[in-house]
Amino acid sequence: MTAHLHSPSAPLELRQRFGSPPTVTRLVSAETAAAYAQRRSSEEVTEPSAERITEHVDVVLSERGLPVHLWWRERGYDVIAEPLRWFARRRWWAEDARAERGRAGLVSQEVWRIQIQDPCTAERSTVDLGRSVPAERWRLLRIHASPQETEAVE
Amino acid sequence: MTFTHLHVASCFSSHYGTATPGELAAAAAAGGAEALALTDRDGLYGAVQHIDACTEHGLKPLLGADLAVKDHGRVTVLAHGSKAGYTALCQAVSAAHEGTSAVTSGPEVALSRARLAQLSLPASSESPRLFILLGVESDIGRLAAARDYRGARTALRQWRQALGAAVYVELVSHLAPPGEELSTAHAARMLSAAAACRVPTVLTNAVRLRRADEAATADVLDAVRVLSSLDSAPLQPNDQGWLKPEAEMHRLAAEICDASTVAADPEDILSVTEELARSCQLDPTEHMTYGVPKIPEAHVIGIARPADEELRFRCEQGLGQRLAEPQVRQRLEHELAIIEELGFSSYFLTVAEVVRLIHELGVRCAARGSGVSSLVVHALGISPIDPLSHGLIFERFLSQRRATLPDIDIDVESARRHEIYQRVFDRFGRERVTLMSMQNAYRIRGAVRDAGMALGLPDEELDQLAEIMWRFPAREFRQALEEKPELKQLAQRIETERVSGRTQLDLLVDLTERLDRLPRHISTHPCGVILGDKDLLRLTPVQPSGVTGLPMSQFGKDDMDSAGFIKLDILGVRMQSAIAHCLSEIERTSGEHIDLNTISFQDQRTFDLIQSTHTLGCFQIESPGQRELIGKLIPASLEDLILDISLFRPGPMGAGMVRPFLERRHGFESIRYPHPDLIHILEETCGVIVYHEQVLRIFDTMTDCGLATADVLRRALSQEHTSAEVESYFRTRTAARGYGQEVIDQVWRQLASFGSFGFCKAHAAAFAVPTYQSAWLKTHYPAAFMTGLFEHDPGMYPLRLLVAEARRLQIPLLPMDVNRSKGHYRLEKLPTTPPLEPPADPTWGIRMALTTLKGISAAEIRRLEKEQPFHSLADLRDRAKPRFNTMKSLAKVGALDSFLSAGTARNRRNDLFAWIERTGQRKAQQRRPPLAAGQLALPLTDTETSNLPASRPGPTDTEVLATELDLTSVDLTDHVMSVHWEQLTRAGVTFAKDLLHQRSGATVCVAGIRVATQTPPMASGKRVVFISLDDGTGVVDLSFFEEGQAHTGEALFAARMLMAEGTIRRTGPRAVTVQATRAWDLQESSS
Repeated sequence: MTAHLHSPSAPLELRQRFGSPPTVTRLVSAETAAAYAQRRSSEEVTEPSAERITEHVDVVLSERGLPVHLWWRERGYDVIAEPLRWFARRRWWAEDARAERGRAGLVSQEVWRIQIQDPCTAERSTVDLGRSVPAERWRLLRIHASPQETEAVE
Repeated sequence: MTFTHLHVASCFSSHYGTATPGELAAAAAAGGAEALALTDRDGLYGAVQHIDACTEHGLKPLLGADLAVKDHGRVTVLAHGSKAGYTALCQAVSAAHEGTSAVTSGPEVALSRARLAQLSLPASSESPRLFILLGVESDIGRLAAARDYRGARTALRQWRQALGAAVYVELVSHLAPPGEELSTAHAARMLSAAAACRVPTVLTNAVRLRRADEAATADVLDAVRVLSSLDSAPLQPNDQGWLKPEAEMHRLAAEICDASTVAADPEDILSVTEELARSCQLDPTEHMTYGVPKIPEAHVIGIARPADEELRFRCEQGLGQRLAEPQVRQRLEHELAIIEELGFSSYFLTVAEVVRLIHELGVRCAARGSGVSSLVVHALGISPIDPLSHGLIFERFLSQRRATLPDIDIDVESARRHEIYQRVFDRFGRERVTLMSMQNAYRIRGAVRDAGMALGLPDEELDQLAEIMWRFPAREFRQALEEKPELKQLAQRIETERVSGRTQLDLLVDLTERLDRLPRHISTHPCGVILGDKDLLRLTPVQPSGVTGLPMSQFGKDDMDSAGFIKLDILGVRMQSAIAHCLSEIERTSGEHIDLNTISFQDQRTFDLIQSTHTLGCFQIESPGQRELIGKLIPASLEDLILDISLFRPGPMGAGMVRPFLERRHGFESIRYPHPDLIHILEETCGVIVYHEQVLRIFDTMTDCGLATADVLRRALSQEHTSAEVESYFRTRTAARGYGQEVIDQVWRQLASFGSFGFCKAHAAAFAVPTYQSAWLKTHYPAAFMTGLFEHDPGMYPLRLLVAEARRLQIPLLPMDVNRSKGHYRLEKLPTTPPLEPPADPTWGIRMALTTLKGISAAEIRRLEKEQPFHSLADLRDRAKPRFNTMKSLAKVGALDSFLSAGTARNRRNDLFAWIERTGQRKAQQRRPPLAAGQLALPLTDTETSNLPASRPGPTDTEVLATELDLTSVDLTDHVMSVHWEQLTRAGVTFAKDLLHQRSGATVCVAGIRVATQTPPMASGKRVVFISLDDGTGVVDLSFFEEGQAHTGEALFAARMLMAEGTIRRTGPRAVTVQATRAWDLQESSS
């Protein structure tokens, strides 16, 4: 299922989102810059089993503000099981050009991990969605190969 | 149900929090909270601001601190809402700081759990005095993060055992990624540990931000705290540590309970949180004696009768015969009545006692500030100024209508300030005294450096950047890039880099702006001493200060009034030390004892010196701007000096008061008074309002409001939101009392434009005395005075400029000599050549001090002083045991020339240095056989120096100069610019000594070393940069207006040596400045 997830526009978006050259100026020596670039690129690999993409999706929320339906590439999915949300850090000083007072969403990105089920095939998968609050825009960030379990506390 | 944040860090949690207590309280109130805690890391630094802000926003205040407990991590300590609770909190914070060091990196701030338990647990069955919240940074939190469930429970049981009902588990979720620290799962693990041990749980958000968008600032602070870049610093997981409103907090509670395996009800957690919040609500007045002045008890000050009676008795004693004068008696009664009514008699007696202690130590001291307005202060011997003869008004200092506590400032010799502090502590008892602290906030240069460090920019780059930044608010960096000519190059660079996709400098600008005004570090206030009663240390936490062995309060000067702390400013003034050294040198060399309190204030020669504007080294009147003003004003009396000092203030300068005053003073404009009633008020200043005292009298005379109300009106005048009220009051009352519309209009215009900018005459009068005294000493004892200046370097200029001034005054400058120089600069009588007839004044020179030598240690100086004189190199090595490097420096700078055979001196200096360098290390280690008993050490000829191999030529003049600058920072033998003179003369440079003879408007080129840079406020609001250059013949004062600044660029603030082109502007009969059209870095243009 993951194979056909790439939309034609994904490579461009990927470039825009992650592929921009690291913002290192001439103030730093060439070696430092190289070492830095190395570090940056190695961090891109988060989870070997997950595919990292970014694609716009639509999410229908419940009254409590929890996702119940996901619309992706003109197909609807049901959200099954309780979703999990967190805020993931962004390396804004390497990714953004500006950091002026009051800029929102600089330091972290809201992430929702939901289990979805294709109502036709009953196929289940776990996906991570990114949410930008002011515009209420959702992006598909990752599709996990195997369903992720939430932590059980002893 | 409401939600109360129990764990909140403000920006007073240094390099951690991002918002001020005021901002946090405003946000909490806006979010519907009813109460708010402030729990800063390691202290109560923001407590008073928090109380004030909570009061303003209608919130109930709670106080606590985030403290490290030895071996158990960080916990939140909350004070129970009672006097005992607040006291225990102060004591816990102080205890955590015990044994730490203010300067070096000593032990961490922390207290033991046993001590915490002792402070927290009550004697009986009352509530604990302190509550302990165990959150993510506690040992429990760490163990839970590591999924050590058993460990967490064991640790929690220990806490429970040690602190019983005082212990709570603090649940925090910053919604970090699953499994990580500060994730919901982490909180759920804490919840189950609490449930297993039956410890109650509360919910907090471990707040360090007011809003999520402040998180980038916190990232920078995290990096700076560990002196690292953002890439390698341990950063917060995300931006969720903000002051979330009730609904969000309720949702978090639900999410934590959902994630938990134990059955937990979010409602329970929230109601326990609110219950705890309720029992921690503080009543500032009742629990903290907020706003109630605290003064040492009568028995401590040493008075037997009631304070009011004692004060009256001492004042009457002090005034003696003068009490026969009706106005003196009347003034005294008036002041005493107000002081008695306000209950401040013992405060005045306390200050008098401190001054007595200072006199007892033989330290020079002078009162300063509005306290000088008081006859009581004068009568008690605190101030030499008689307020009646200068028209000073008591109500400017104290009245029933002044909300603030009295404040008397005392200037003392800076070199002996700590000695006085120790004495005050000893005298009043260590439980009643503490030094005050101050928070140092980020300003542009520091902000650029730290933001740059976080971004990983190299240090050298940051040094260069910081150098071109000149006093603008860091918050306005981006705007400054557009406006300031010295930043133009930088702005262009940022633009170029942005185009090529590099944005590091762009980020630097944004981050610098974010850091602006955040507290950076705390330090001992330069003069504030808090005096209280025996309970003082129950009301303020203290920590070690920069002064050995003395504690300082965590509160600063703006906290004093609100909290009801009485502070005394004992300010170390280097000029007082310089004067003291000058007087003691005169006494040492000539036996003459001078009492400056008895000198005449009408000495013509002293005023001749002042009018000549050669006032370098004189208190208050040595800056370029002041020399210019003196040149225009031509002071001829102490009153004129008071006027001069009052005019040279940001207010009057900025309001453009100076010009109209000078025009009238010199008769270019006629003096008019709006109404005959005002003549006696304004005639001392030619009809212009200069002093606060005049504003008070105008209000009082025209509205009959009384002087106390007049002072309230004066202060309201300068506030934008109240000045309209003042105006309508003034207009109504004056009209009712029969003043004509035209008069009212005219007086109001003057009040509105100048009234709020005037200067307190009492301040100026207090300053004028040491100003006159220093000028008097410079006139009559120039060599001794310069010796004092060299010793304490009291002013704004570098020592080398003072040395140049001594050279200009033809005072012989005697080089460092290991047989004659001491640890201090000293006057030395020069051998007079025999034909000179005996009555001639001996010539006095100034001998350079050993302290001037770089790298010499205090111990070495002590040994040298003790063993002087030395008859040979070997003798010097033997008895004074200087280190090898010191020995070399001494030789190089010429301090060992006296060991060389007579007449050869400097010519053999290089040989001597080479000899020491070659043999010194070995010789230094050789032990000479000890002398047999009874055998005298014969002063043999120095075989070492007489057999010195001759191989090198002596140093040239330029080399000598370079060595002096290198090893002493002072060009003693000649002016450092002298090496450039020939070249500069050829280039057509005009020297300072010749500028006075140039006609106004002439174009000149000048050059020299920068000795001062100033940007005083201007009436126009536009920046003018004043730079003073020392060219060896005197000082050239340059002014740079817009055009000059634009043509100069980065060199404006960065270059050390400048060459400038401009036109002569005559500013007075004896003063000229050069209005620069452009300037270059001399070192860059010559290389």
